[in-house]
Amino acid sequence: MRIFITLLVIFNATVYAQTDGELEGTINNCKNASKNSYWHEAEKICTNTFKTSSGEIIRYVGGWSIKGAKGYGQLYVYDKNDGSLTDTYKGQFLESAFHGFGRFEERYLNDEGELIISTMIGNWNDGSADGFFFHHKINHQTKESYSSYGGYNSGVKKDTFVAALPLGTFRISYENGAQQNMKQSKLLMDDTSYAWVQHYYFGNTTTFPKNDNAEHSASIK
Amino acid sequence: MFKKYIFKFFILVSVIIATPIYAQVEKVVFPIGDVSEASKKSCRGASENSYWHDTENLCTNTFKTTSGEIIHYVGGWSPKGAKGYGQLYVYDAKDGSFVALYKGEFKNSLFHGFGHFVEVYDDSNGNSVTRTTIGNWKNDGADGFNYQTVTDNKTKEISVLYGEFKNGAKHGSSIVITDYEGTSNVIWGEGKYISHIQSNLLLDETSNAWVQHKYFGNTTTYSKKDNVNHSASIK
Repeated sequence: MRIFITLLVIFNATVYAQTDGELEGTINNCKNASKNSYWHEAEKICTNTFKTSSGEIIRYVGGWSIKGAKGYGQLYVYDKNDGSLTDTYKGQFLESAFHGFGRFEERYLNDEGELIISTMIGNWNDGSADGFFFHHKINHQTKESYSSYGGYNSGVKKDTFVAALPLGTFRISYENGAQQNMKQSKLLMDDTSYAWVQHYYFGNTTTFPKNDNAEHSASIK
Repeated sequence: MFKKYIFKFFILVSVIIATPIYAQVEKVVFPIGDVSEASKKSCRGASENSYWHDTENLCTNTFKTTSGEIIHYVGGWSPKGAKGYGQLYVYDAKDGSFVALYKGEFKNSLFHGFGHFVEVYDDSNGNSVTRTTIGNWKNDGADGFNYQTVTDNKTKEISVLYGEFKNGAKHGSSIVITDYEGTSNVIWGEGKYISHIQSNLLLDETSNAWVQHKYFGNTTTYSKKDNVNHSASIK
């Protein structure tokens, strides 16, 4: 996972002491966040657009507070060369960091030059994945996809992940973010559940289109 | 149109709850739930088609409900029922076709923790839709901030919602994104629609247009169908 910390750039260091109420402080903080930051009274949200030192264009639109982005917000990252969208985050923020529940999507090219769209949905803490997550990746060209479920601690994978890969379903254990073991699970395959129900309740024998050559029916009990 | 987000409360899982309480947990390579002898015994006793699988340290439990659905659970277990990561499948008892699926965390045989729930059903207009809810669950109900999509299985049109749930119902503020009506801030109270305000600024297109305009000198026009002049709202 590419840890995403650009967001911290939009954190405005000035902390306003309650001037004429929290809303006024929020509005001022939003307006001063960058030269392209605006408070929109009609929708009561803040927009803030800026370039990072590496040239990426970041745009935030959403809730705000005297300590920066807060509540529901949407963060977009655009390529510096052509303005194409690379990453988005939609979800909860606190002090301009991903915090709470959110969906993060990133687009990049793999080694073969194929577009990969990667989506992470789960709970965040201070800008890092923290808690149980659903992760989905799809190759836009081949349509091959990957999905996994598992826990993070401060952005680091921990314990057991269940991953559905093109070749089958696997249980993968992690310790301090490093992969320790990987074992195929036939029981956690969607096809196994379907086959068992078809066999037991309808007397149908189901064969799998899987590529791993395993005799799945033997494992069904 | 916001009616499509009214939550169809799903309580089938509570049927798989088991009873005896034991102690003692042993360590295994791939623990998903509790792998004690007490857990194994509880798993085996859950129904006539429940099995503990030593090779994968998982429990499977398959049964029919009184409403005519077949439930298949596979995942972690404990003396109090499904626990830890698990997968729950719901099939139509008439033909075995897919009805619903939950993948995520369980506790006491309930959706509890983080989970991904997919269900296929006919909406109020008789259209087949697939609804996906991903987020936090508590005692079988979505609870906390969640992400939900509703896809019309014929037209493939997708609506998206980000918002708060309480006890399985939408409650509080949410952002709803649809092809036809753009983006709206919708307020719910215990699952009932209360009010909404359209938001031009939260449209993806608005952000793209602003960046294209400001940094690349391009004028972007919208393909939106809500007839709003979005460019006027960009600042």
